[in-house]
Amino acid sequence: MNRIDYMAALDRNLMSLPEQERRDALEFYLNYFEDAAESGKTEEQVIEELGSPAHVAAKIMSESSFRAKSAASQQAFKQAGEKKSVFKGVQGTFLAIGAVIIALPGAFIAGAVVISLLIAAVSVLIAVGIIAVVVPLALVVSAVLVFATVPSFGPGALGAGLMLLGGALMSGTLLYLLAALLVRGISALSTWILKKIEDSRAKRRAAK
Amino acid sequence: MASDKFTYELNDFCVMAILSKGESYGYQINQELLEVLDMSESTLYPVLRKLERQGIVQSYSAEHGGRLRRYCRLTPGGLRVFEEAKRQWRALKEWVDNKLGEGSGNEQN
Repeated sequence: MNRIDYMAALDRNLMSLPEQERRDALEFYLNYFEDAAESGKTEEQVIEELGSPAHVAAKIMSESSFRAKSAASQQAFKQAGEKKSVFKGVQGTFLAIGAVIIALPGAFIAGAVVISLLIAAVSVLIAVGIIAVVVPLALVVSAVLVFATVPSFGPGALGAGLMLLGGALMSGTLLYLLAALLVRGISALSTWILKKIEDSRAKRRAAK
Repeated sequence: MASDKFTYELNDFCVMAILSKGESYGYQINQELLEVLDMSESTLYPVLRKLERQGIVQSYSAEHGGRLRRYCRLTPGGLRVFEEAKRQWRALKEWVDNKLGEGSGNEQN
């Protein structure tokens, strides 16, 4: 591997970073190669010194804020299959919220906002879910009962009930996807808030 | 909030220490770090990025041999942070020296 391969691999591995951040990082490593060459190092020595592009990129990504994280978690979401990562997302959300609350008393407000958002979102989803599934199901059941007692009424009512049930299953799937998105969004939001708090703390320290 | 506990990451502290002696650039900073730290698990660039985001370090491009080179320096606020970190470091160093001194003292007894 030479300098060109190294830079290309780094570039590939930093694909999910925002454009400007990626350019800054690449500039740093290009500078590094140039300065090392000036001091008489070979490209192999520099690569040895820097570590593999994948490792370096992972370090850069983990330091980079919000956007890279959510991109990485989106990828993980796709890879891990939805159910598992929704669960992970929920877990991550609560962990992040907990961390925000522990981090600073001042973060209570932010934490409370996120928690109430989460609770509100979840209760709306549950309520809509119940209405969407239970009501059509009840209709189907009652239609079957009507069919048994008053045969001429039954078929129409049964058809309507089945149609509603179909609609409910479809909207259930949509709700599930919506829930997954919501959980992920809130998780990313709380991670972002945490990062901001950490930064502003350090900034305050630098500014005092 | 002054604390005697050492609250900085060693990488951050060493980079601040290097820059407290004057401006420098990536390659040079890393060469100095490599004299004392194993940088195989961490890498310099994210450390500089973080310090810059926190307002401790400032970077700017300047011409060098017909190309641009990115230089870093401590901001005035960063210098104050480093002063505080230095105070904490001295307390830690005193504690470690003390422990090491006691250790060898016990062996002699």
